[in-house]
Amino acid sequence: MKLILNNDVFLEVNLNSLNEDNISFECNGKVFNYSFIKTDSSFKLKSLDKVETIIFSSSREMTEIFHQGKYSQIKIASHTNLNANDEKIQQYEYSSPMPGKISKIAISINQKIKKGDVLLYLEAMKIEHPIKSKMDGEIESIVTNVGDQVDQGQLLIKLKKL
Amino acid sequence: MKKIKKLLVANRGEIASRVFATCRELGISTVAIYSKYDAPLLFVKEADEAILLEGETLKETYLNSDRILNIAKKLNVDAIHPGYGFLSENAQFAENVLNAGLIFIGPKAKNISSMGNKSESKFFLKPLGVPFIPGYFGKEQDINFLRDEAKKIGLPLLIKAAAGGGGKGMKIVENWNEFDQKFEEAKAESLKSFGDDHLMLEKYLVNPRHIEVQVFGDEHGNAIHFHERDCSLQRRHQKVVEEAPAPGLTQQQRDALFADALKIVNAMKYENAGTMEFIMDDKGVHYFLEMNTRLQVEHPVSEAINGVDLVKLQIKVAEGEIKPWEKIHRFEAPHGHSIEVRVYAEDPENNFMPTSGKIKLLKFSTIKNVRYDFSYFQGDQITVNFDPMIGKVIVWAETRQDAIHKLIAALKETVILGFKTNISFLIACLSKKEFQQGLVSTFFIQKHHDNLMNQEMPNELVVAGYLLSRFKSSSSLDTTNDPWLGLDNFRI
Repeated sequence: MKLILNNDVFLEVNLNSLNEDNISFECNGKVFNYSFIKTDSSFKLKSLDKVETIIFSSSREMTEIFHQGKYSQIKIASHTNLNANDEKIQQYEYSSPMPGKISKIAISINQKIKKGDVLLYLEAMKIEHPIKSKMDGEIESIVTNVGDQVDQGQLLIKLKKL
Repeated sequence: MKKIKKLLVANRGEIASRVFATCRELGISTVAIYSKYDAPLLFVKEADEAILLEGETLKETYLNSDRILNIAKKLNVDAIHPGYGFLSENAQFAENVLNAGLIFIGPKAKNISSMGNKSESKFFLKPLGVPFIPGYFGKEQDINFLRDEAKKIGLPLLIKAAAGGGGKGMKIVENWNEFDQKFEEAKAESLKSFGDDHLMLEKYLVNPRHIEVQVFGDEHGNAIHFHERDCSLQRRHQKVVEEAPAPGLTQQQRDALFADALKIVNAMKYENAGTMEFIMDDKGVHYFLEMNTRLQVEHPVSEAINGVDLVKLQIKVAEGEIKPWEKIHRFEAPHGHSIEVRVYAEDPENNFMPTSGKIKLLKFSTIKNVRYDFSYFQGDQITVNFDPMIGKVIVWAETRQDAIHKLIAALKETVILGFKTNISFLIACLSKKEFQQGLVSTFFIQKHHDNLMNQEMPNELVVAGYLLSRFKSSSSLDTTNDPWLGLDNFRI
């Protein structure tokens, strides 16, 4: 199965075996074996050289994992962000992560951009937050202007494939 | 002496909870005020009475001094504790509370106002011999004049734009032959950024440390200090890690800090809790930064090494007790070491962008001498609009090394599941060799920034969690009817 981690990374996973105490699976070609103990919110995973306890919460859409201060989300890759044989995540729409003001737009229509390029800057809580592209592509539309006050979730930029 | 029987906290979250806890111990009944967004939070439930402040903005709610005062009068409250931030350093509010016949748990209004104004406080403190960072802040801009002033200040030197900050128009001069060039560069940059090319000169402190002293005064002219704290680890001037005592100071350096702190308290006849903030250079020389005329966020580390309850002392002072610190148990010399970290709903790897969501699971470490002062708990919703501090984790241990390891262990066991937090960033700061060696300065986080950015959790742990939470076994293929949860070679 193809899983997507933190909306950012694809993982090719196959479950080899699973019973009440042991699990063996492949992740991107590498095999992992653990014995485990389950509680209502955690798994204690024991491998050859260490013991790790991960905390989890699962819903229909995704599983959230917490481990030593770090937080991750993982779910099945759906067709909207998957392209056959494509290793990279395809995120076409970019919306505002929080309420704020558009302080600078760093791209223009039809401009070709690479994954990681800054699309625009959102000013919130006295700090300028860069919004970066998650894929290589081309700017299809810019639905906001410098100076606009935007809400959390408001659509700002649309990309299309090269 | 006036006995406080009922107290209102004009604040929210963890500091409100903290004050209520001491009130319960003293048998004082409590009143909370809250905005509708805070209705589900614990502090509202902890108070004996809680009054909703209608409104959307801070101005209508926590900063609404008239409304809060009316509520206090109506409920026959004896005293108001302002917490930190909000109205705590609002001299007018303190004045209004007194005029309403209530007790303000804090200093006199005139002390708040004199320390609240940077130039007014300097005017008052300079004659006392309190050291200020050497500099020239005047109007004369002739380069030759300024070069002479610079020579008085010494190297290294900072040329700053008078009209603004944020690093623009700021140049460091490390030897005299670059002074003129840097001067012109600063002028040009300042004009471009702020439309004003006026410059100031200031001594540039190498590896500066933020050291503060906890002080207390009673209403009878007596004063005491509760030793120092080091709050050097900051990000954009926001404190991230605080500890007491400050690592690596000599007793002589400490005594000099305490002497200046008490000098100020006595000259002002300061009442109640306060903190003198200093900046110390790499030679151990300190300069006055500012005074905070309130209880601070990081007060727990001082409580730990002094063995005191500072809120209890605040209440006793406000009741008019003489030297209440002599009647309570406390340690004479700092005992052990205490470190605090502030847990934020933010994503360090993404420019510390604030995060939000529901706390689906919250678990605290059960290691001994770990204190959690939290505003949000399991089931609470964090929104990007409010203060992103979720809470504070504080440890006490016999030595600084023990405290560091204890805090790292406690943080690794602390669970906040639902959105990204800065916990692993905090663990990285505490784990850094330089931090453990006490090589802290206000540039620490900036300097080590890239190293502090985390390595994500290993993919296989996340995958294991995913598989284990969704599949019962590999032998039964139809664990579910949901086509998305099958375990065969289902291809999309």
